[in-house]
Amino acid sequence: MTTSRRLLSRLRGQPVTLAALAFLALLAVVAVAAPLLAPYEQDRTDFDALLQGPSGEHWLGTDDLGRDTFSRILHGARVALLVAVGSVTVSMLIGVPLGLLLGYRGGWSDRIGSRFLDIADALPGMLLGFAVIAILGRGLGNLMLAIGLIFCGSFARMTRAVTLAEREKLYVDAARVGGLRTSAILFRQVLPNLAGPLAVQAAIFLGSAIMVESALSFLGLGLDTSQASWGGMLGAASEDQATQPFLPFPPGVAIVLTVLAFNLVGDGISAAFAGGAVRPARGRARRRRTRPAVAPLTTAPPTTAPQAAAFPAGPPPPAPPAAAFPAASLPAAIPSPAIPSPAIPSPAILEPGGVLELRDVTVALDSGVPLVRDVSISLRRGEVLGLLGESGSGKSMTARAALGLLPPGISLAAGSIRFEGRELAGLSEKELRGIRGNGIAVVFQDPLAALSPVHTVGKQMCDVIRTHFRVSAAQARTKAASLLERVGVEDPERRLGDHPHQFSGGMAQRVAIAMALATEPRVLIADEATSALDVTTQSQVLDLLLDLRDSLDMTILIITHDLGVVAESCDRVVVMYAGEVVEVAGTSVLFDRPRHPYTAALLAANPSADGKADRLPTIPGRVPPAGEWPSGCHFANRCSFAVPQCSTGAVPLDEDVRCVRATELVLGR
Amino acid sequence: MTLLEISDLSISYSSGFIKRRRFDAVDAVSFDVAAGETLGLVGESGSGKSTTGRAILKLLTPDAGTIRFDGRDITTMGLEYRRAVQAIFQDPAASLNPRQVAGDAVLAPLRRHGLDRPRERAAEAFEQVGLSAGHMSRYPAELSGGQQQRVAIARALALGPRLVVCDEAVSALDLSTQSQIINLLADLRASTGVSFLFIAHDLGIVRHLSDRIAVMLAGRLIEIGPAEALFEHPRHPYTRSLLAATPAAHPSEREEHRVRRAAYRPLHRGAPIRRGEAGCPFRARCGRVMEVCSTETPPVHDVGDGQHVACHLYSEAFSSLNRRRI
Amino acid sequence: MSRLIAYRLALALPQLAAVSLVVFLLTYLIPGSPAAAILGERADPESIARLEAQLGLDRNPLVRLGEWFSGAAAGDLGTSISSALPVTDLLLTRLPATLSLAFGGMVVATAAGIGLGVLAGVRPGGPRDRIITAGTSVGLSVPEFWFGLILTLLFAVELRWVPVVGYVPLTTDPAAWARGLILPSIALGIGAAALIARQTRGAMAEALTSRYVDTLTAAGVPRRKIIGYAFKNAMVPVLATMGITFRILFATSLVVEVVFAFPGVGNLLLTSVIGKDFPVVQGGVLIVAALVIAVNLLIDVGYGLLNPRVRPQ
Repeated sequence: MTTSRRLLSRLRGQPVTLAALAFLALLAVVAVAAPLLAPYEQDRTDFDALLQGPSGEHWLGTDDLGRDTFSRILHGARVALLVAVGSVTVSMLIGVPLGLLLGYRGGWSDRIGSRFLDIADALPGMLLGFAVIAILGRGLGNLMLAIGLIFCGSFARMTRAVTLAEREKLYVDAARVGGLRTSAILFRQVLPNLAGPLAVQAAIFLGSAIMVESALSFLGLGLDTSQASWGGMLGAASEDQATQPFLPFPPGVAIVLTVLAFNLVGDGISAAFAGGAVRPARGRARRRRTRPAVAPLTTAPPTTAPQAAAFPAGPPPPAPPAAAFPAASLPAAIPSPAIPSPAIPSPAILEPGGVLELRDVTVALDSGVPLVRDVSISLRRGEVLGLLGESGSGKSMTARAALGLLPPGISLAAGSIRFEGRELAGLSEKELRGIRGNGIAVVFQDPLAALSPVHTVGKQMCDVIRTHFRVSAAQARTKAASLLERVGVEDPERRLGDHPHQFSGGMAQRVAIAMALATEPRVLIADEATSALDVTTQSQVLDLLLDLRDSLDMTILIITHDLGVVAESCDRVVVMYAGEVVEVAGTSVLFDRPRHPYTAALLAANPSADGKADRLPTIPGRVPPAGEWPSGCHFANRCSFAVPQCSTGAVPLDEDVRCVRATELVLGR
Repeated sequence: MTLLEISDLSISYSSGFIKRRRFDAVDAVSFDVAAGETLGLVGESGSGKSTTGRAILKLLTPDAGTIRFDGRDITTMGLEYRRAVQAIFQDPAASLNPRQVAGDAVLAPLRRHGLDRPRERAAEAFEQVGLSAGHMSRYPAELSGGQQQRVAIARALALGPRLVVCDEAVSALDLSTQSQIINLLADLRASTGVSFLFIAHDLGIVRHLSDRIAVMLAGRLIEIGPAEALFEHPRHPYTRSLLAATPAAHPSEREEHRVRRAAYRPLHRGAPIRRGEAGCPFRARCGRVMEVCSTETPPVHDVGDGQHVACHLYSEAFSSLNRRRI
Repeated sequence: MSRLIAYRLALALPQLAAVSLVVFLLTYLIPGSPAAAILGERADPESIARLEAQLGLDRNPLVRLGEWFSGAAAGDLGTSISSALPVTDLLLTRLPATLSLAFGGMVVATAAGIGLGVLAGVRPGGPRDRIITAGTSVGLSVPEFWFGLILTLLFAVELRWVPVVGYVPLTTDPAAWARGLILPSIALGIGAAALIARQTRGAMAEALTSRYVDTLTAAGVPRRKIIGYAFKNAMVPVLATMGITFRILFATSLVVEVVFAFPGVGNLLLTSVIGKDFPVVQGGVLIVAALVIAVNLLIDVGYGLLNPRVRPQ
């Protein structure tokens, strides 16, 4: 089983979990071999040595009957582990099958079963323990049963929840369609997917069981006192701690360490099952550290070009016009957030041609693997530029780099990003914050995720408006309402009080666009903004974007995988493949005479383009994932025009196409 | 020869937090699929197209109506139906058990149906979909999206089904992978003669693969007909608006598309389609709405060439009046 | 709002009724005769018969069930065997101490848990997060009653900052009441605080990576405000699990009461369990369950207020 091997190797990478496991293994050995290991018998009294502190004779002192604490701790481990394992076994034997049944059957049995679990919820666990022991009396078996009953509700509930979630998954449907028996689906398909959560829960409950056992023993409801147990020792200690304050420490520390070990093992299993869940956290930490490391460079005296200073790697971008220098290096001279408002762009600092200018942008994982390499994009004022690519092309990462919104663990490794002449690359998070929203806005794919679900639309819009404009709350609301009206939301005043889920998908995307417009941007980046919408809604939202471009004089960058969206709305297109720009062209030119074989193949493979042909032209293979890019042309191994020369070295972007045979090939229809 | 016959299929869900509201996901839908035919089923999200597919797969029980397979009511059929009707779902990663190797995904149903030489059959199926035997021991996470979908196709075809329900089977794939899978499905249809019910929202793909196309809106079937006829002469105003909304295939068609779209701009933007009541589900958005559209559910009219449409514009009373303008 | 409360109440009442049914059935679960169990094996048959009559065990169970329900509804939970006092009176005198302790524990758990969780979750993986996360791991592993013992030893016995034993009724002296609650509340709250801190940290970290945070960030909204947005979103899952957390806290409070010698329901229950005073055990279980249901009701209402999606329209 490679999964279990992968899990083990992940566990091996967690020193804390390994230490906890080692501690528990040692504890188990101690529990088994307690009579051999203990220096004294656990119930040997010594009335000459009552309530002693730690000494060479009694390492951890003695109790009120002169019994050796160390020996009793070792014997206590037996009770602790035995009761923990026994009670968790009891609770799993009851809870897991019950939860599986409720979760998979659903319907009435589930509703009734869940109500019972709700009732059990109202009975705090300890009470249940009290009741069971009150009824059945003390003893090892009853103790296990009492504690087991406390946790079986939780096991049932969790198993039910996970089963319910798994039941909705397509692989269960597929198994049903395949005719598999319910029992086979439950135990061979669903149960393996429960293993992770169950293992985590079991580890944590083993610890909890020890806590409950010690509490019950502490209260005198556990085993009788002749058998050493940690809780019982604490009970005795509480009576004599005024005389011997050391008494409560050994059993208490034993409990804490054991429970901690179980909890840590639980956390470790959970992290191992979650896969990379541990890593992003580390990656984020690293990013926090690298960010300021870049930032100080921009605070260097403005004698060097800021980009060159910030990015020693990569070819230096062409020198910006002299007028750009003071503005670009102003934040360097004044490191405080006192950044001059970029809301008033001075035409003097604009580079000719581009509003938003990306030069040789390289985005990489912290491990150094590039996701986007040497991408240069120039967004001209007033145009609608398409950034076209399949998944893995790096188109979204490019956009996020332009927004300064790269996810944790991913950073801008090289290149220059200039917006209206101002260099954004290398700015610290703090400096970026002062700039964001002043000119560039973004609309994401899923509008419901892009809006906070627990805040009203009005609150979110007004917060954005009041970040950028000194207006009263009432004025902000009026402006928000007019923006909603502008994007075609009916009854805008009333709808400001609605939460995002009260809007349909298309309407929610209009709201997201209105949010973006609230900053009065000059550039709007639409990141797959219409991909999740139905065709009818998609065309309406595209029409809205084009309408806004005309009426508000905006520049729009549309990031999409959909050739239809490009054909419908873009003036120019940048085609990306495996982290690189492969072709840049006007939309009509691109559709008629693609110059890169990938573009041509993509156009040919589009089923909507050709009505009814028997076979679609295809591209063999798949987009190579980041880190597995071939040397030379990234597309070479899938290209039907490839020659040996394609793989010899990096292919430059020459006259807007990245292909060694660009001049000789005649592509398209 | 009719393979699958659906008549007056109705399915309702109950939802709601306090009051359990019922709403009709599928409302009296009838159509059939011939042996060897590919029927495309299109509609926007929430139109009930996937629910219809799930009912055909016996993944949910209809409230009313019958589904017949080979003339037999499917509720009376057992394991044999499971073998005859298979499915390929949208998200290939989710349709494979993450803790099961690809080979086992194909083997388990083969064993369940007691087919001889299950291992060889599975290996053959892998080969058929362009995978090697080496892929059988891989976990889904170790396969690319296209390869995962190939495994799902192998699983469906290994049983030798007569109908495969493809629920958005290629929507989640990238364009270059998508065309590979579309070709694979077309090849398999040619070599095995299997029928497909191809559920999708992308009209381009549906047109490419389907012999006939059915259009659903708000749980109702509003138009059905041969693929070319439906694309060339859409009859229902909704179908027309749907086609008009389809993005242009070439930038040169952009203006024409925009003009066409403007003609079908919804009258009441955002007005919800009311469900479960009499009348036409499109009335709130229809540019040619009439009084009768709110009071009576439009009957299905045969408009010739195998095309059927549920719209009052085609009723006898209006036919003479409207025939030319339609 | 009022509809939400009404709805939650409508759910809570059957739950309470069901719990009281379970409590009623407890006596029937005792192997053999409960009276014999109470009086011990060597009790003479006459006194067993007398006790059975007193407990009503000789009568039809259905009739007794009716009496139990009508009695419970009217506030009559029977009579204690050992003290011959009405169970309701016994419980009522014990309730203020239990409520005070649970209240203190919940305040500590909520304040410390949410505060630490936010501090850790705002910068996951950072040094502050690592320290707090390690702290919560330990916090989850510390038995509250032991922590109480240690706190008493340190702050009451050694440092003498607070009184050793200290429940003073609120009505007698509010300041002394508060002073006496400090240590027990901290001891009781530590586990729940660690639990809440973990959940808050996770929810906060997740909220901060969500798309709406990207949207607001891209729009230039200040970080401080964005954290506010993330916080309100993070509270949705935290509040959803707080009911379970507080149920555990109630259970723990029964033990912590013993450590700090609080004259509460927990201490009463303990002596009743040991003394097999079943009517008091029944009444105690019922009253604690009722408190748990009441707290859950409040949390549910808060959850409904926070999360617009579950609010009935």
